[in-house]
Amino acid sequence: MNVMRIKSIPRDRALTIYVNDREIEAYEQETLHAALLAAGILVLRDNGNGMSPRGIFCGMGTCYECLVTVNGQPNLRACQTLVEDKMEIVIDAG
Amino acid sequence: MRDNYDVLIVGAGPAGLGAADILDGHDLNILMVDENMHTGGQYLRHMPGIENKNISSIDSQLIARVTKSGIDRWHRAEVVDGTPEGWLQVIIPPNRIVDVHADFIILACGTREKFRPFPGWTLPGVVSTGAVQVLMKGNGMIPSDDIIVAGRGPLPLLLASEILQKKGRVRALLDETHALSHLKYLRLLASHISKLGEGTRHLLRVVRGKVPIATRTRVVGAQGQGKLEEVVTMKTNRHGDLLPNSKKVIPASFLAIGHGFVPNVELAVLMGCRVDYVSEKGGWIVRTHDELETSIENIFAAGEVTGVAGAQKSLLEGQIVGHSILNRLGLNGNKRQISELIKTRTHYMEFGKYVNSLTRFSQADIETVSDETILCRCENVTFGHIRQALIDGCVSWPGLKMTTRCGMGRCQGRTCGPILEELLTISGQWHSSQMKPYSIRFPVKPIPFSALCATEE
Amino acid sequence: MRNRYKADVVVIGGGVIGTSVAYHLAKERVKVIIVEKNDLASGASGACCGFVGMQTRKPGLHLRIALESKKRFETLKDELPVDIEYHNDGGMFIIQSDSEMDTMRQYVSERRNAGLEVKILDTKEARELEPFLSEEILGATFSPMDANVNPYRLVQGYAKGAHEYGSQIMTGTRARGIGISNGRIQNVETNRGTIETPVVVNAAGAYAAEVGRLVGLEIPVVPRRGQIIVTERTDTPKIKSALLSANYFAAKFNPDLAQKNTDFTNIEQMENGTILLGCSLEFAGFDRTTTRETLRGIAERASKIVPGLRNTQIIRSYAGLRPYSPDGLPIMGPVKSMPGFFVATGHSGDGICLSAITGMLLAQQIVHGQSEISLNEFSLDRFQQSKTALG
Repeated sequence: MNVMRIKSIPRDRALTIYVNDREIEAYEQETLHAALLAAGILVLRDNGNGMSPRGIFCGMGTCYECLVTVNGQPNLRACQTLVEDKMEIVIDAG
Repeated sequence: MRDNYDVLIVGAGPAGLGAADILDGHDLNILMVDENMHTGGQYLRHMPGIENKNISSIDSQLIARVTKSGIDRWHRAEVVDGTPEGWLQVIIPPNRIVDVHADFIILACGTREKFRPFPGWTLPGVVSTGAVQVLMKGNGMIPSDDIIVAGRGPLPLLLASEILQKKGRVRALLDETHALSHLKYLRLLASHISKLGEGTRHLLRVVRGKVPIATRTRVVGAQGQGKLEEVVTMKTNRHGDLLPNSKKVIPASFLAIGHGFVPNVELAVLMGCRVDYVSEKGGWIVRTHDELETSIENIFAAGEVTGVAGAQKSLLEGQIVGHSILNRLGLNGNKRQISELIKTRTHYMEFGKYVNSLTRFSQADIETVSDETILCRCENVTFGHIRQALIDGCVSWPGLKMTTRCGMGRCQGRTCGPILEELLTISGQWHSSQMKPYSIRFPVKPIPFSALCATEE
Repeated sequence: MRNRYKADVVVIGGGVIGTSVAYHLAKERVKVIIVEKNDLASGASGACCGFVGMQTRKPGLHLRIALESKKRFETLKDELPVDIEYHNDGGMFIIQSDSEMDTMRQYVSERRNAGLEVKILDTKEARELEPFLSEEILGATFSPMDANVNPYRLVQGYAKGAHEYGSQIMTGTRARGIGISNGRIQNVETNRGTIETPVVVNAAGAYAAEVGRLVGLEIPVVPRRGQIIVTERTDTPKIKSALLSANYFAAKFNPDLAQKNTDFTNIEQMENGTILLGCSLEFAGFDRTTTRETLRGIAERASKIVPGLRNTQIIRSYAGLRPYSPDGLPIMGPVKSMPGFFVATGHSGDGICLSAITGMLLAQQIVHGQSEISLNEFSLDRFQQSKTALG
């Protein structure tokens, strides 16, 4: 685990989202990359040569490292994606 | 949905908010577009409804006024194209491109972070200081233990302090600068008492939090099997040379790095605005005259894009632009106030100079980077590749790009470009006359294919 | 800085043609200096696609030199010191209407007679070869003789090869004048000094006219812009052959369309997975900006051929300036009125494909006074516009 939700901050509605078919905790208004980090998912993909694991880097949509597949659409930035109920995320950590 | 406005503000950070605040209440049709879910930009990032101790009451009131005003706001909107005639193309959810025109455009696009690469900096677990702020302020999360915060400039200290404030823990704070280099600017800091006070408060919090602070300490490597497990550091002397036998290895799974800021001038360049390369202002900045109009009529620039100097200066510039536009429209923008604002702004530019000088790369920074270290993350281009291309005779950014593919990936040079430009100008390899802004074409940011094809109703 | 240099041949222009000429000369032990005002491949060679197409040629001389060029590529790919990512995966003209089908049937029979391997595929057969093609197409022509290459790597390959044979490459160096005395070339003046040489090759692409004027020659090359869209790296879609729209041929050679701004479609996936989509043919001076209307047209037409493109992201667009000659054929060879001055330009969008044969023939002509395919038909003199050289 690399981040934790601050307990004193009230969350919006709890949602069900799946990462590689495994359910993880998520709340409305969270960005996907935060939910992934809170679930301990750090490695998101490989950058092309099998030896370049990548994950979240800039956190603000500039670096294009945090690419995941969401509901069948590949190469979306997790840090710019809001979690939605029943969202299916596929991570190919390579 | 309107497609025509009197004023269009790109960016809802301090500069955009400052302009909106002044322009509001004069019966103008104003649109503000921003990539984030809420106003505030990076500096005033917050979760609405949640108290944020780091935002002053003045700023909170500003945010409240603007969000309650009649100003149209498009959030999660990315501007992907713009013309000198005042047309912007914006992508709004879910993947629609819309064209919108405004008589006046304010470019308040802010900054992004700059980094000093080291071997292993691409490992999962190495993040930017800004990324941790987004997690905290935008998602209400804190790093679990053993995060190391490292770098130069004010942000690492600020971040460490903020983590502690939210009851998180920091394994270590590693500052590359020498304490003495801060002395050089003591006179400057003294005239920015509030900054000095702020800085002291953060420092005290970190000290009281028993966080080990190391100065003159540079991260020289990140290691691990498939993700970060250890951070390797070395100490430097006053000139920034690495001291042999000073290597330390610290276990960590999370490392936040920051090395200053780079203005987001890409949209300005695409629209044809003149930009200048000014190191002491953070790199490429938009050229403006007194009233902050750019080289293109009716297009204004405010905030970090005219020079990195922090949120207060951004806010002031937003206000200046607001008054300038009111004047243009004959709506009695306050001329006396403009000159007051400009004076105060000059005051803050000095502080910006200090911060930017702190985060400028040094000769030692260039020389100590190994050939294997990645420069362009998107395309896996190393420093060795770049060095060879320079030896082979490359004299321009486009030449380097074509030879090495550096800058051709998805981020289109946003991460690697500023690093490369700074290293080349510092090393004297390229004359300043060789410096031309990175060539920008539509789209300014990647867009879904379908957005380009979609026919508008 | 007034330095003096010496060369047997100065090649002006560091694009695919200039570097190929330099390479082929250097192999013959000629001391070459390339003079390039920016960086290698800063012109059209750095803003194009890598199609080495045989189907796009007119039967006759045009097709013949393309086939010869391709033959040369087959050895070059192993000979050059850089991997040029040469792939002989074939090419297709996509047929989307009945009238196009009629035109293409005729086209195929003409070309088969001229020695090109090409046939018509129906929808099913085309999609068997390229599963990502749309079901809506009527069919396609296919030739296994079409190939493609990575243009940047090709230029690097020629340049590195030339360098290894002793050539000098001067980037950031602009030719400002050509010194002539007694009707013979003496030197090239640049911003970095003077290069003594008896022979100059004008390989300046879209800027060939400007270089021609340095010796008082009118070279009728004008820039013709082509806009290209670049997608992110992807393997959905995955496209092996080069795809073009059947209206390409009309756009390029139909006299009514040839002088206007017009569009066609081409789709080419590079080795690293990015897909290049083109293209336009516009006379827009030296303007290298891209325009949204044209890009949208390219995107819409391309996605009709390969619907899977709609799931990709577009990360960039760019525009290149083809050096266009009045008849669309290259202008190559010696110039009668100016001994020592050779032209190698006007490739009109075929530069990448014809670079191999161009380098070969120019080198033969310069070194031996003749070439295995005569350059007479490509001569500048066919335009009868060259003035007498300044004495």
